[in-house]
Amino acid sequence: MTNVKLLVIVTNDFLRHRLLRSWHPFIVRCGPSVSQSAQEDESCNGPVAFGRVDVRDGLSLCVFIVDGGWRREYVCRVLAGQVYGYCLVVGPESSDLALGQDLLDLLQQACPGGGVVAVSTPEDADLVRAALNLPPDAAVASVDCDSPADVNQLLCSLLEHLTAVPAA
Amino acid sequence: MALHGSFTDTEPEDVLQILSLGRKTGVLSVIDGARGAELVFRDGMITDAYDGSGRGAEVVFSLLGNRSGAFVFTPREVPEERTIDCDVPSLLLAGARHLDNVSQAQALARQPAARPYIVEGVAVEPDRLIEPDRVVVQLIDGRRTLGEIAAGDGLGMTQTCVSIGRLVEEGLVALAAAADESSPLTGRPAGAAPDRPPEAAEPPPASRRPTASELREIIAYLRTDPGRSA
Repeated sequence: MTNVKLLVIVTNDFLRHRLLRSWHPFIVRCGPSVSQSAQEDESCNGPVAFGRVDVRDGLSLCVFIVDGGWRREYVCRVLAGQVYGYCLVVGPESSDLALGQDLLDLLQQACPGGGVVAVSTPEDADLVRAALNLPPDAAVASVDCDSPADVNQLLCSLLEHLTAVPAA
Repeated sequence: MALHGSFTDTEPEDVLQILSLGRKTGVLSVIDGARGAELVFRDGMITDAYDGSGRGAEVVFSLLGNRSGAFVFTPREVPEERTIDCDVPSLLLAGARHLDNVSQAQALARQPAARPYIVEGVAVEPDRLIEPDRVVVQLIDGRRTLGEIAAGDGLGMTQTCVSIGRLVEEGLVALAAAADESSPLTGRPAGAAPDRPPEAAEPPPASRRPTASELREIIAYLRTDPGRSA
Protein backbone atom coordinates (compact mmCIF):
# COMPACT_ATOMS: atom_id res chain seq x y z
CA MET A 1 0.00 0.00 0.00
CA THR A 2 1.43 3.37 -0.97
CA ASN A 3 -0.01 6.51 0.60
CA VAL A 4 1.54 9.57 -0.97
CA LYS A 5 1.11 12.20 1.74
CA LEU A 6 1.22 15.85 0.78
CA LEU A 7 0.83 19.03 2.78
CA VAL A 8 -1.04 22.04 1.46
CA ILE A 9 -0.33 24.91 3.80
CA VAL A 10 -1.96 28.31 3.42
CA THR A 11 -1.24 31.70 4.95
CA ASN A 12 -4.74 32.51 6.16
CA ASP A 13 -7.78 30.57 7.25
CA PHE A 14 -10.02 32.07 4.58
CA LEU A 15 -7.87 30.44 1.90
CA ARG A 16 -8.09 27.15 3.76
CA HIS A 17 -11.88 27.29 3.84
CA ARG A 18 -12.01 28.00 0.13
CA LEU A 19 -9.68 25.10 -0.60
CA LEU A 20 -11.72 22.78 1.59
CA ARG A 21 -14.93 23.68 -0.19
CA SER A 22 -13.29 23.02 -3.53
CA TRP A 23 -11.83 19.73 -2.37
CA HIS A 24 -14.86 18.74 -0.31
CA PRO A 25 -15.58 15.40 -2.05
CA PHE A 26 -12.25 14.07 -0.83
CA ILE A 27 -12.18 15.43 2.71
CA VAL A 28 -12.21 12.53 5.15
CA ARG A 29 -12.03 14.48 8.36
CA CYS A 30 -11.28 17.84 9.92
CA GLY A 31 -9.87 17.96 13.43
CA PRO A 32 -10.62 18.59 16.16
CA SER A 33 -14.32 19.06 15.47
CA VAL A 34 -16.27 17.25 12.79
CA SER A 35 -19.87 18.07 12.08
CA GLN A 36 -22.19 15.09 12.01
CA SER A 37 -24.32 16.99 9.53
CA ALA A 38 -21.43 17.10 7.05
CA GLN A 39 -22.43 20.61 6.13
CA GLU A 40 -19.55 22.15 4.24
CA ASP A 41 -19.02 25.18 6.43
CA GLU A 42 -19.28 23.23 9.66
CA SER A 43 -17.18 20.32 8.51
CA CYS A 44 -14.33 22.75 7.82
CA ASN A 45 -14.03 23.86 11.42
CA GLY A 46 -10.92 22.00 12.44
CA PRO A 47 -7.46 23.43 11.90
CA VAL A 48 -6.10 20.35 10.13
CA ALA A 49 -8.18 18.79 7.37
CA PHE A 50 -7.31 15.45 5.90
CA GLY A 51 -8.39 14.40 2.44
CA ARG A 52 -7.79 11.22 0.52
CA VAL A 53 -8.10 10.17 -3.09
CA ASP A 54 -8.03 6.43 -3.73
CA VAL A 55 -6.39 6.17 -7.12
CA ARG A 56 -6.56 2.39 -7.20
CA ASP A 57 -6.14 -0.54 -4.82
CA GLY A 58 -2.79 0.00 -3.15
CA LEU A 59 -2.26 3.61 -4.20
CA SER A 60 -3.75 6.64 -2.45
CA LEU A 61 -3.07 10.33 -2.34
CA CYS A 62 -3.44 11.79 1.15
CA VAL A 63 -3.48 15.55 1.61
CA PHE A 64 -3.31 17.60 4.79
CA ILE A 65 -4.78 21.08 4.31
CA VAL A 66 -3.66 23.39 7.08
CA ASP A 67 -3.68 27.06 8.03
CA GLY A 68 0.00 27.84 8.60
CA GLY A 69 -0.93 30.45 11.17
CA TRP A 70 -2.18 27.71 13.47
CA ARG A 71 0.57 26.15 15.60
CA ARG A 72 3.17 26.60 12.92
CA GLU A 73 5.85 24.74 14.86
CA TYR A 74 3.70 21.61 15.00
CA VAL A 75 2.66 21.92 11.41
CA CYS A 76 6.08 22.61 10.03
CA ARG A 77 8.22 20.41 12.23
CA VAL A 78 5.95 17.42 12.85
CA LEU A 79 3.38 17.30 10.09
CA ALA A 80 5.76 18.45 7.36
CA GLY A 81 8.19 15.76 8.46
CA GLN A 82 5.61 13.09 7.65
CA VAL A 83 4.73 14.22 4.17
CA TYR A 84 6.39 13.62 0.85
CA GLY A 85 6.09 17.19 -0.36
CA TYR A 86 4.43 20.48 0.41
CA CYS A 87 2.62 23.26 -1.37
CA LEU A 88 2.69 26.70 0.24
CA VAL A 89 -0.22 28.87 -0.91
CA VAL A 90 0.38 32.53 -0.16
CA GLY A 91 -2.42 35.08 0.05
CA PRO A 92 -2.26 38.73 -1.06
CA GLU A 93 -2.03 40.64 2.24
CA SER A 94 1.17 41.80 3.89
CA SER A 95 0.47 39.43 6.80
CA ASP A 96 0.31 36.56 4.27
CA LEU A 97 3.69 37.51 2.84
CA ALA A 98 5.32 37.72 6.27
CA LEU A 99 3.88 34.38 7.36
CA GLY A 100 4.75 32.84 4.00
CA GLN A 101 8.40 33.71 4.47
CA ASP A 102 8.50 32.12 7.94
CA LEU A 103 6.68 29.04 6.74
CA LEU A 104 8.91 28.52 3.74
CA ASP A 105 12.02 28.59 5.91
CA LEU A 106 10.54 26.00 8.27
CA LEU A 107 9.20 23.81 5.48
CA GLN A 108 12.51 23.73 3.67
CA GLN A 109 14.13 22.41 6.85
CA ALA A 110 11.42 19.91 7.74
CA CYS A 111 10.46 18.47 4.40
CA PRO A 112 13.40 17.18 2.41
CA GLY A 113 11.14 16.18 -0.47
CA GLY A 114 10.67 19.85 -1.25
CA GLY A 115 7.64 21.57 -2.60
CA VAL A 116 6.15 24.39 -4.59
CA VAL A 117 4.99 27.90 -3.83
CA ALA A 118 1.69 29.17 -5.18
CA VAL A 119 -0.21 32.43 -5.05
CA SER A 120 -3.95 32.82 -4.72
CA THR A 121 -3.99 35.74 -7.16
CA PRO A 122 -1.80 35.49 -10.28
CA GLU A 123 -0.72 39.13 -10.25
CA ASP A 124 0.99 38.60 -6.86
CA ALA A 125 3.63 36.22 -8.21
CA ASP A 126 6.43 38.81 -8.42
CA LEU A 127 5.54 40.22 -5.02
CA VAL A 128 5.72 36.75 -3.47
CA ARG A 129 9.02 35.98 -5.19
CA ALA A 130 10.45 39.12 -3.62
CA ALA A 131 8.93 38.60 -0.18
CA LEU A 132 10.03 34.97 0.03
CA ASN A 133 13.49 35.69 -1.37
CA LEU A 134 12.93 33.38 -4.31
CA PRO A 135 15.09 33.78 -7.42
CA PRO A 136 13.46 36.03 -10.06
CA ASP A 137 13.00 33.06 -12.39
CA ALA A 138 11.65 30.71 -9.68
CA ALA A 139 8.43 29.00 -10.67
CA VAL A 140 5.46 30.25 -8.68
CA ALA A 141 2.18 28.51 -9.40
CA SER A 142 -1.14 30.23 -9.17
CA VAL A 143 -4.33 28.66 -7.88
CA ASP A 144 -7.94 29.75 -7.84
CA CYS A 145 -8.87 28.27 -4.47
CA ASP A 146 -12.56 28.23 -5.46
CA SER A 147 -11.96 25.99 -8.45
CA PRO A 148 -11.77 22.21 -7.87
CA ALA A 149 -9.98 21.79 -11.19
CA ASP A 150 -7.41 24.42 -10.20
CA VAL A 151 -6.79 22.71 -6.85
CA ASN A 152 -6.27 19.40 -8.64
CA GLN A 153 -3.90 21.16 -11.04
CA LEU A 154 -1.93 22.56 -8.11
CA LEU A 155 -1.51 19.07 -6.68
CA CYS A 156 -0.45 17.85 -10.13
CA SER A 157 2.18 20.63 -10.27
CA LEU A 158 3.50 19.55 -6.89
CA LEU A 159 3.59 15.88 -7.91
CA GLU A 160 5.35 16.79 -11.16
CA HIS A 161 7.89 18.76 -9.13
CA LEU A 162 8.40 15.74 -6.88
CA THR A 163 8.91 13.34 -9.77
CA ALA A 164 11.81 15.55 -10.82
CA VAL A 165 13.46 15.45 -7.37
CA PRO A 166 16.15 12.75 -7.29
CA ALA A 167 15.74 10.05 -4.61
CA ALA A 168 17.65 10.82 -1.43
CA MET B 1 -48.97 15.52 -6.24
CA ALA B 2 -47.47 13.03 -3.79
CA LEU B 3 -44.54 10.80 -4.71
CA HIS B 4 -44.73 7.31 -3.28
CA GLY B 5 -43.27 3.82 -3.66
CA SER B 6 -41.11 1.21 -2.02
CA PHE B 7 -37.39 1.22 -1.34
CA THR B 8 -37.26 -2.36 -2.54
CA ASP B 9 -38.08 -1.01 -6.03
CA THR B 10 -36.39 2.38 -5.87
CA GLU B 11 -33.09 3.11 -4.18
CA PRO B 12 -33.29 5.64 -1.32
CA GLU B 13 -30.47 7.61 -3.00
CA ASP B 14 -32.59 7.99 -6.15
CA VAL B 15 -35.61 9.23 -4.22
CA LEU B 16 -33.52 11.78 -2.30
CA GLN B 17 -31.89 13.02 -5.48
CA ILE B 18 -35.24 13.35 -7.30
CA LEU B 19 -36.53 15.53 -4.47
CA SER B 20 -33.28 17.48 -4.42
CA LEU B 21 -33.18 18.12 -8.17
CA GLY B 22 -36.84 19.12 -8.11
CA ARG B 23 -36.05 21.56 -5.26
CA LYS B 24 -39.03 20.12 -3.41
CA THR B 25 -40.42 21.35 -0.13
CA GLY B 26 -42.34 18.90 2.02
CA VAL B 27 -41.98 15.75 4.09
CA LEU B 28 -40.78 12.31 3.02
CA SER B 29 -42.37 9.73 5.31
CA VAL B 30 -40.90 6.26 5.51
CA ILE B 31 -42.71 3.29 7.02
CA ASP B 32 -40.82 0.08 7.62
CA GLY B 33 -42.89 -2.36 9.66
CA ALA B 34 -43.44 -0.81 13.04
CA ARG B 35 -40.71 1.79 12.46
CA GLY B 36 -41.20 5.15 10.85
CA ALA B 37 -39.05 8.11 9.91
CA GLU B 38 -39.63 11.52 8.41
CA LEU B 39 -37.24 13.61 6.33
CA VAL B 40 -38.02 17.30 5.93
CA PHE B 41 -37.12 18.96 2.62
CA ARG B 42 -36.93 22.69 1.96
CA ASP B 43 -36.11 23.78 -1.59
CA GLY B 44 -34.43 20.44 -2.25
CA MET B 45 -32.29 20.51 0.90
CA ILE B 46 -32.86 18.06 3.75
CA THR B 47 -33.27 20.28 6.79
CA ASP B 48 -34.44 17.81 9.41
CA ALA B 49 -34.91 14.07 9.91
CA TYR B 50 -36.28 12.13 12.82
CA ASP B 51 -37.45 8.67 13.79
CA GLY B 52 -38.43 6.96 17.02
CA SER B 53 -34.90 6.95 18.37
CA GLY B 54 -33.11 10.00 17.08
CA ARG B 55 -32.87 13.11 14.99
CA GLY B 56 -30.47 14.57 12.44
CA ALA B 57 -28.17 13.15 9.79
CA GLU B 58 -27.94 9.79 11.57
CA VAL B 59 -31.58 9.13 10.66
CA VAL B 60 -30.77 9.63 6.97
CA PHE B 61 -27.73 7.36 7.28
CA SER B 62 -29.93 4.71 8.88
CA LEU B 63 -32.38 5.00 6.00
CA LEU B 64 -29.57 4.55 3.48
CA GLY B 65 -28.34 1.50 5.39
CA ASN B 66 -31.69 -0.26 5.74
CA ARG B 67 -32.95 0.13 2.15
CA SER B 68 -36.39 -1.18 2.99
CA GLY B 69 -39.86 0.17 3.65
CA ALA B 70 -42.46 2.23 1.84
CA PHE B 71 -42.20 5.96 1.30
CA VAL B 72 -44.48 8.84 0.47
CA PHE B 73 -43.51 12.43 -0.17
CA THR B 74 -46.09 15.05 0.71
CA PRO B 75 -45.47 18.59 -0.56
CA ARG B 76 -46.33 21.07 2.17
CA GLU B 77 -44.99 23.97 4.16
CA VAL B 78 -42.34 22.89 6.65
CA PRO B 79 -41.01 24.46 9.85
CA GLU B 80 -37.97 26.73 9.67
CA GLU B 81 -36.09 24.64 12.25
CA ARG B 82 -33.00 22.88 10.94
CA THR B 83 -31.02 20.00 12.38
CA ILE B 84 -29.29 19.32 9.07
CA ASP B 85 -27.95 22.01 6.79
CA CYS B 86 -26.48 20.17 3.90
CA ASP B 87 -27.19 19.54 0.24
CA VAL B 88 -28.29 16.04 -0.68
CA PRO B 89 -25.15 15.02 -2.66
CA SER B 90 -22.94 15.93 0.32
CA LEU B 91 -25.27 14.08 2.67
CA LEU B 92 -25.19 10.98 0.45
CA LEU B 93 -21.40 11.10 0.41
CA ALA B 94 -21.29 11.44 4.18
CA GLY B 95 -23.79 8.57 4.41
CA ALA B 96 -21.63 6.33 2.24
CA ARG B 97 -18.63 7.16 4.40
CA HIS B 98 -20.63 6.47 7.55
CA LEU B 99 -21.79 3.08 6.22
CA ASP B 100 -18.20 2.20 5.32
CA ASN B 101 -17.13 3.10 8.86
CA VAL B 102 -19.89 1.02 10.40
CA SER B 103 -19.12 -1.93 8.17
CA GLN B 104 -15.42 -1.65 9.02
CA ALA B 105 -16.26 -1.35 12.73
CA GLN B 106 -18.41 -4.48 12.57
CA ALA B 107 -15.52 -6.36 10.99
CA LEU B 108 -13.16 -5.05 13.65
CA ALA B 109 -15.51 -6.01 16.45
CA ARG B 110 -15.22 -9.63 15.38
CA GLN B 111 -11.56 -9.73 16.39
CA PRO B 112 -11.39 -8.32 19.92
CA ALA B 113 -7.95 -9.88 20.48
CA ALA B 114 -6.29 -7.77 17.77
CA ARG B 115 -3.84 -5.19 19.07
CA PRO B 116 -3.84 -1.67 17.57
CA TYR B 117 -0.55 0.20 17.58
CA ILE B 118 0.66 3.64 16.54
CA VAL B 119 2.37 3.46 13.16
CA GLU B 120 6.11 3.94 13.44
CA GLY B 121 7.26 7.46 12.67
CA VAL B 122 3.82 8.97 13.15
CA ALA B 123 3.46 11.68 15.76
CA VAL B 124 -0.14 11.60 16.90
CA GLU B 125 -1.45 14.95 18.11
CA PRO B 126 -4.45 14.11 20.31
CA ASP B 127 -5.51 17.77 20.23
CA ARG B 128 -6.42 17.57 16.60
CA LEU B 129 -8.55 14.44 16.96
CA ILE B 130 -12.26 14.41 17.64
CA GLU B 131 -13.27 13.46 21.16
CA PRO B 132 -13.85 9.68 20.88
CA ASP B 133 -10.68 9.21 18.83
CA ARG B 134 -8.70 11.22 21.38
CA VAL B 135 -9.88 8.94 24.18
CA VAL B 136 -9.16 5.79 22.19
CA VAL B 137 -5.72 6.80 20.94
CA GLN B 138 -4.52 7.43 24.49
CA LEU B 139 -5.15 3.77 25.31
CA ILE B 140 -3.32 2.42 22.28
CA ASP B 141 0.08 1.15 23.36
CA GLY B 142 0.62 -1.85 21.10
CA ARG B 143 -0.09 -4.23 23.99
CA ARG B 144 -3.74 -3.66 24.82
CA THR B 145 -6.18 -5.61 22.70
CA LEU B 146 -9.18 -4.09 21.01
CA GLY B 147 -11.42 -5.64 23.65
CA GLU B 148 -9.31 -4.21 26.47
CA ILE B 149 -9.38 -0.74 24.91
CA ALA B 150 -13.15 -0.95 24.48
CA ALA B 151 -13.49 -1.99 28.11
CA GLY B 152 -11.33 0.90 29.28
CA ASP B 153 -12.45 3.84 27.17
CA GLY B 154 -16.06 3.93 28.28
CA LEU B 155 -17.25 4.12 24.69
CA GLY B 156 -18.26 0.52 24.10
CA MET B 157 -17.06 -1.86 21.41
CA THR B 158 -18.89 -0.33 18.45
CA GLN B 159 -17.77 3.26 19.00
CA THR B 160 -14.24 2.11 19.83
CA CYS B 161 -14.10 0.19 16.56
CA VAL B 162 -15.47 3.16 14.60
CA SER B 163 -12.74 5.35 16.11
CA ILE B 164 -9.99 2.84 15.45
CA GLY B 165 -11.26 2.40 11.89
CA ARG B 166 -10.93 6.16 11.37
CA LEU B 167 -7.43 6.21 12.85
CA VAL B 168 -6.39 3.31 10.63
CA GLU B 169 -7.86 5.07 7.60
CA GLU B 170 -5.84 8.16 8.38
CA GLY B 171 -2.65 6.15 8.61
CA LEU B 172 -2.06 6.88 12.30
CA VAL B 173 -2.79 3.41 13.63
CA ALA B 174 -2.31 -0.12 12.35
CA LEU B 175 -3.53 -3.45 13.66
CA ALA B 176 -1.58 -6.46 14.73
CA ALA B 177 -3.68 -9.52 14.03
CA ALA B 178 -4.38 -11.86 16.93
CA ALA B 179 -2.70 -15.25 16.85
CA ASP B 180 -5.66 -17.00 15.26
CA GLU B 181 -7.18 -14.21 13.21
CA SER B 182 -6.53 -12.19 10.09
CA SER B 183 -7.07 -8.45 9.93
CA PRO B 184 -10.29 -7.31 8.27
CA LEU B 185 -8.53 -4.11 7.29
CA THR B 186 -5.48 -5.60 5.66
CA GLY B 187 -6.57 -9.17 4.96
CA ARG B 188 -3.10 -10.24 6.03
CA PRO B 189 -2.76 -13.59 7.76
CA ALA B 190 -1.91 -13.72 11.44
CA GLY B 191 1.60 -12.64 12.24
CA ALA B 192 2.36 -11.16 8.83
CA ALA B 193 5.22 -8.70 9.19
CA PRO B 194 3.46 -5.39 8.42
CA ASP B 195 0.89 -6.06 11.14
CA ARG B 196 3.30 -6.71 13.95
CA PRO B 197 3.21 -4.20 16.77
CA PRO B 198 6.32 -2.16 17.53
CA GLU B 199 7.49 -4.38 20.35
CA ALA B 200 7.33 -7.54 18.24
CA ALA B 201 10.46 -9.16 16.85
CA GLU B 202 10.24 -7.35 13.51
CA PRO B 203 9.42 -3.64 13.52
CA PRO B 204 6.89 -2.42 10.96
CA PRO B 205 8.55 -1.18 7.80
CA ALA B 206 8.93 2.55 7.26
CA SER B 207 6.59 4.17 4.76
CA ARG B 208 7.71 3.27 1.28
CA ARG B 209 8.86 6.08 -0.95
CA PRO B 210 6.51 6.34 -3.93
CA THR B 211 8.00 5.63 -7.31
CA ALA B 212 7.95 8.18 -10.11
CA SER B 213 5.47 6.00 -12.00
CA GLU B 214 3.12 6.00 -9.01
CA LEU B 215 3.33 9.80 -8.84
CA ARG B 216 2.55 10.00 -12.57
CA GLU B 217 -0.35 7.63 -12.04
CA ILE B 218 -1.80 10.01 -9.42
CA ILE B 219 -1.28 12.99 -11.74
CA ALA B 220 -3.13 11.20 -14.53
CA TYR B 221 -5.95 10.31 -12.15
CA LEU B 222 -6.31 13.88 -10.85
CA ARG B 223 -6.49 15.14 -14.41
CA THR B 224 -9.60 13.04 -14.95
CA ASP B 225 -11.30 15.49 -12.55
CA PRO B 226 -12.34 12.76 -10.10
CA GLY B 227 -14.18 15.23 -7.83
CA ARG B 228 -16.83 15.74 -10.47
CA SER B 229 -17.84 12.08 -10.37
CA ALA B 230 -17.26 11.60 -6.62
